[in-house]
Amino acid sequence: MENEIISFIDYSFSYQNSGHWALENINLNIKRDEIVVIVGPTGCGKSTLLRSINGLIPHMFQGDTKGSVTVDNLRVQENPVSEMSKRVGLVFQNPENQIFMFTVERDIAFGLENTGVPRLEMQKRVDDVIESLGIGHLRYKPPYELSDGEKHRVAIAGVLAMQPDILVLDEPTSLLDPRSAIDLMKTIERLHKKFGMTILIVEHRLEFSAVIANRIVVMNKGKIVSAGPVREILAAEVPFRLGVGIPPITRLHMALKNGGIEMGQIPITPKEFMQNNREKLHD
Amino acid sequence: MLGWIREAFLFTSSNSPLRKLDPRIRVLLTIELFTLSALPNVFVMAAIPLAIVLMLGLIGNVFSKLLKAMIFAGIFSIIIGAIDFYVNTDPIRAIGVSVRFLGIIGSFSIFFLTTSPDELGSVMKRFRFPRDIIFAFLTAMRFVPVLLLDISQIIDAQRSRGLEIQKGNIVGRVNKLFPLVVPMVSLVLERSNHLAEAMESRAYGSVKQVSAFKELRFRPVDRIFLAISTPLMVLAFYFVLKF
Amino acid sequence: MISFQSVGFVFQNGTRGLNDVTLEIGEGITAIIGANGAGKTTLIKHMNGLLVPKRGNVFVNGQNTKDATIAQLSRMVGILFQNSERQLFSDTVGDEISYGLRNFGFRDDQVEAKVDEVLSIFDLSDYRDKSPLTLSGGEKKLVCLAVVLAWEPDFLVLDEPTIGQDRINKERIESLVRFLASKRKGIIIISHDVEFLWNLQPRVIAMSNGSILADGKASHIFSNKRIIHKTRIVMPQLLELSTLLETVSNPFSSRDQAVNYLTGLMNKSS
Repeated sequence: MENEIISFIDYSFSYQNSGHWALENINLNIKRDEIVVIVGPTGCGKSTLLRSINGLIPHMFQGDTKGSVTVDNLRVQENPVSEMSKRVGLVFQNPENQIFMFTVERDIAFGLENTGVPRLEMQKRVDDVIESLGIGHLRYKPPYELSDGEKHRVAIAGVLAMQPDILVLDEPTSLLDPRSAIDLMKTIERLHKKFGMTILIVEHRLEFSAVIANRIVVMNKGKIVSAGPVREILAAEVPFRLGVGIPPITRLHMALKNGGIEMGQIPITPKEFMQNNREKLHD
Repeated sequence: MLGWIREAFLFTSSNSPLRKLDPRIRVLLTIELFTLSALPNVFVMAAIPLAIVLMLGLIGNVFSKLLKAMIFAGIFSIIIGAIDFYVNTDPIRAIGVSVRFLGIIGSFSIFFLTTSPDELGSVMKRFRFPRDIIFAFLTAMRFVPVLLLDISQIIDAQRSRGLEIQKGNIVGRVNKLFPLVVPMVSLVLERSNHLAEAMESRAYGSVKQVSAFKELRFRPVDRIFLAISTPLMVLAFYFVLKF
Repeated sequence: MISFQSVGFVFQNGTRGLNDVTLEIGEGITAIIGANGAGKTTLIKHMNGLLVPKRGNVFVNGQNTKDATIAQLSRMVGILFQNSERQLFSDTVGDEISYGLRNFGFRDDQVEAKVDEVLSIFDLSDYRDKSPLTLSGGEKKLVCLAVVLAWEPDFLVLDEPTIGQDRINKERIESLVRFLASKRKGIIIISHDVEFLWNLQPRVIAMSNGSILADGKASHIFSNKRIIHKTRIVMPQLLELSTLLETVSNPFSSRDQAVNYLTGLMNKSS
């Protein structure tokens, strides 16, 4: 299937000496340009999944592997992380530990220096990425003068400069206040539109990420439990029982539905609720 | 006190004319001033480099921070001077020792206040230091403020559990460090792991021939500065060595 | 009772921490909201003496914090900071909990009893001999809570307790808070997790730039657009729905009634 950019086929992974499978029989296809949110209780294997996409697993973390992971027609097991990093940009949870240099622009260039990109090209990419993320005013600042939201942007910029087709974010909003979380999600959506990127987000706080996502994948104990369109999955029994944080408005919708009341489409925000049930409310 | 050390040596993104100079010039300047401060026997001569340092501080727009460094160093310089006086019972010489010390500290302070660690890394690269060493050095400097914050958070947390650092005898006090050291070590390890993952994910160490975002190059302003300062320095050295 | 009287605080580098803060916090649940840098953490650090006011005074159960040690005040006010898991260092969970108790002068037999008690409240008795450093993030959080509650302070202060926690752990923290409130303790929570706070219906203190912006019932504070903007939060969803319903044919007579009804309805789905 040409439209698939990430393909897990019967993939399992066990960290060395751990005695159990962190991921078990994962079968997952991510299409180009999708925005997918991955949820699940702590320890379900989300982080392991992400690291299997850019090659940190198995190249940096040893262990037993079964099955295969293919990203952009490259087999992750057969390609070094440096090769994968040109296709997959992985942004970790804590931006503090991803900013190495003393000025923002230098840090953004870090990955480009590492891969020997010529200086003129490097400077152009840095300029482009700074503009895309709206951080021009931070160009010469050291990391300790940045706010949390700004640090996140810089971390994303550093990864984006390598021009990957896929952006993977590990709990990007966990350290942010709600307004900053919304701003970050908007930025990600803008990047998605502008560059046609495929985006994977691991999140606990669905109120923010579900708004921009196409699909949700629910994991538990190393396995994929369910996957499908955002609203459908959020309204299902299973994720709720597993401890996934369903938006209250969605739960209300389900309660009303279970109570026999006919409802419109499944909402994830109060505004959607109002819109979806326009006629009913006017009675 | 930690705050003062930070203030006196920490580079901040302020505007300073000295920053327009190629960092190698600043290294040269620092070495010149340092030697100038270390050499003199008579304290009058030692005052010259100190004066130059202070003047540079004014020009370089970092005067207030430099002053803080001087005050901080001043305490030590008085102690050193006192020790010298005790040993050599020559008050003029002792004052000279103090002033020299101030000059030395000042010359380093000027450098660190006006030079970002990235620039220092570039200089090191020009002098053919291995990339890994430069990176390790820069990363260490980069995370010093972060680690300071970490340790203060751990201290706060343990004090909130009743840890009282001032009380107790020597043995007791060492035991008291345990709740500070263990969390700090595991924190540093955790950060190191995260850093390694992030470095790896941005292809660090993948190719031998890395490129450089900024290249050090001498510009007219550097040449002018050299042209003016070199004869002055030579003159200063002459005077200092003569006496 | 924790009492702030015209408290002003300035940091070493000159930035303003607190600006003429006067308030009283007693038993029950109090939430503190505000943007980063608004002064929330500075405020709670004044509650156990980690910081003392430059102006004004802070009293904890009548004791002026300027005249007491941090250890003495922590006995009454237990604070759990963000990233509290970082403070764990002992060989076993049991040791970890005993550490604080011993610091506060509990005798050995008392220590054992308290450790047992708090572990059973948290359903962590099986973890007594496990190393705290090998636990998951959520388990570590619970251990940290057990550590503080072991010495039964009058006040429990939580700084962003729900960050990174999944829903199940959040519910555990929520029921713990309710339990403590029923025992007439004072619980103070700094959080920007509005849904978590909304479930607790606390008194809400909003801060901005070192000052108190507002102080009142959750339903008032969270429906105030100006406060929401300044503290960089969002309105809890069911509250937002109630306000939206008011623009159409509204079967409810008051916003409170609307919210209560909707909340009850929502909880039926579980």
